[in-house]
Amino acid sequence: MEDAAIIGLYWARDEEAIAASDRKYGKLCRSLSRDILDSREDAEECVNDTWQKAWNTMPPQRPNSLRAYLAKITRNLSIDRWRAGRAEKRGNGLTILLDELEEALPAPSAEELTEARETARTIERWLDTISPADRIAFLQRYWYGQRVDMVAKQAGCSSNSMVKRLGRLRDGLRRALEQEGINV
Amino acid sequence: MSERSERLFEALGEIDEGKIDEAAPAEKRVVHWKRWTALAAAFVLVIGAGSYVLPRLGGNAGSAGAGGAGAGSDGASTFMSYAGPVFPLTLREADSAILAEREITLDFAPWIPVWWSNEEEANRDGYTPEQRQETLDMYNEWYPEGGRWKSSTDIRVADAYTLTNTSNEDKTVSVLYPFAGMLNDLENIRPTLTAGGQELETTLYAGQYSGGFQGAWEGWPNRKDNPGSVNLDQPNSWEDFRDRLEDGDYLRSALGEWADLSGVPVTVYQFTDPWGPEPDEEAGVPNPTIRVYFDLDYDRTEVLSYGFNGGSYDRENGRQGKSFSIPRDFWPERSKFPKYLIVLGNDIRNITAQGCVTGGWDDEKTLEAGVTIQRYESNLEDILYTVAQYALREEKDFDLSYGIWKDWLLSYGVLADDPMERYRWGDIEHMDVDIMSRVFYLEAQVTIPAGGSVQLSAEMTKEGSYDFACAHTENRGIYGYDMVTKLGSNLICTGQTAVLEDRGQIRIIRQNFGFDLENGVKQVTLDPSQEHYYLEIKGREDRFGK
Repeated sequence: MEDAAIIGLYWARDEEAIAASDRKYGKLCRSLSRDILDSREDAEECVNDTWQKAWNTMPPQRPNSLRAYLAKITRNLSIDRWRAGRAEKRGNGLTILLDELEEALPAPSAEELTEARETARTIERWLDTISPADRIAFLQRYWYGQRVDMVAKQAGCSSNSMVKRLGRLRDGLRRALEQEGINV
Repeated sequence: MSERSERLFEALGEIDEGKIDEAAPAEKRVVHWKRWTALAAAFVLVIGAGSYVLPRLGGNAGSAGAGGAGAGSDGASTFMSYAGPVFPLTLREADSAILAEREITLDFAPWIPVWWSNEEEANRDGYTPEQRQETLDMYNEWYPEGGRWKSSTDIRVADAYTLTNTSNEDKTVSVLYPFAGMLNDLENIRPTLTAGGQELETTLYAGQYSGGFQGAWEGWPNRKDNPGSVNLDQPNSWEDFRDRLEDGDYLRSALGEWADLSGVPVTVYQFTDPWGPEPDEEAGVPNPTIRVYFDLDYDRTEVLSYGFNGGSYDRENGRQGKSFSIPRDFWPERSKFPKYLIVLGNDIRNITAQGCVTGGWDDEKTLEAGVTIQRYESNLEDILYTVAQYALREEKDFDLSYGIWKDWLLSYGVLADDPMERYRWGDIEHMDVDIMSRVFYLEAQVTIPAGGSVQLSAEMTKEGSYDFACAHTENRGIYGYDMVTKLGSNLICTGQTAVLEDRGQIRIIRQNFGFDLENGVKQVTLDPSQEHYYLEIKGREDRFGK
């Protein structure tokens, strides 16, 4: 079923919307959540919460990309869940991702510009400057939280090569953030 | 790890949806087939590397063995010859302001017997007076009553929609009407689309083969015991179509551009003007044949051929042979067309042509014969188009057939990533494209006034599904007709009904519609959550008793 039709079902308050979402994007959302939380059970709950949140937000929302919309909800819910759980149990998934991203951080500046939206705009501009292949690899790793070997497979290169490529991309992002004076 | 990297990770969540979409990981491990606007120009290099970037057969449309009476998941039968379901209308671009009411009518009018006289049978075009009399005598002997009752097992389907525009502005929408069938039957099965009673201009698109492949017949009919890809495994249940159409890729590729192969360099060998002696059985020359031999590196070269009858393949010694019978004057025109070897990758070497007494590769007796060989450089698009002028000369819609033909080569033939065993020898005249079950789409433009409605109807002849009589299955004499309610459709359908015009011709054997002929229930409301409806019937025994 096409996205517009699924969105139409949400707007028509037809519960088939959730089944259709799960059929089409359930696998993607589960995988995304599991890569962040490192727990199948927690990921399953996050995905269920995703459908609940989608149901509660459409209408009024009518997203251009249902995939990106649902994935964003899942990602945010997964981060929230990871935060809630880290005091008791530190999940390997996000911990490893964050360790890697540490390298992309510029040295602290005097000004504390911490608005996530502004940071995102800078990241966005930087993403526009790199090649589509690099952009996809970077986002598959740091947006979708995919394992390096999976990202490498989809890019058609070895894991070692992808590790190096991601390292270069993190360096590039750090420089872009520094140039913009962003201190996350 | 710090809170700052955590914030950076979170900030990434705010980026544009388009980029998120672009980077979405592949959801399926199987690469879906699609059409290509261009192929890698570095095809030769790819061949050299021992693997192909060309498309892979997407998904597995295989299915359980045929011939199961009521064996389907919803109680429907799995027929040996499956005509495919009637599909619902869809829109090229989904539009939540357009609502649809559907009424489908299954009309058994073609089942009404008609008297077919022996005279009519004999008066066929093309008979000489002598042949006509001979035929008439024969039929008079068979049917001394002067003729016989005949009827079809097709039905007429009217799939009607009331499309309502709930918005405040007029809308012109592109509607797509899918229908299942084969290229060689297109004229008979192509629906007529009307809106407000006026026939619509339509554009025809063809989807890819909707079935799979299977091995030789041992273990038949259980496909699991039948590995390999020597035989076609046509879809024989609606689920086979569901697996293909459900995620929208099938339709997207059907609407896409055909592959452009002009970036793929080839070396062409054209064979014309063959000559040799007439066949002479007594002289031990039953079938004068031209045998062409050449050397090649099987890992770096792929050879397509057109017009050859036989082949010999010696991978170990890097040798290959192709042969054709020397055409005689009275042979069909196609036997006199040029023959071609189309070489991709490294060129072949040491090509020779030799006359032989038979087409058998184990027969070494030679004879004096010859053929003109011309070698030239070209690209795959040009040479395929040249060959298509011969191979597809009888097709009514050349462009459509040519596109389907290229798809077949790229998806299943020797140009595919994983060629089917059926086509592994490189002969490109295999016309399986004609008989491969697929879904076609008719596209038309319809304007629906703001707040108003338009009546759109697709009318068509629909074949029944059946088991082969000789197989003596439980379903012998039973014909199946089925439909799907939402597969492949983005239309928001507010209601669906089905009408049965039985014309007093049938007995219902199995169904899930809810028709009741005894009690006059011939119109039923369909449950939108029920994806598939089926009707399996037999002709009434008394209908020929006139």
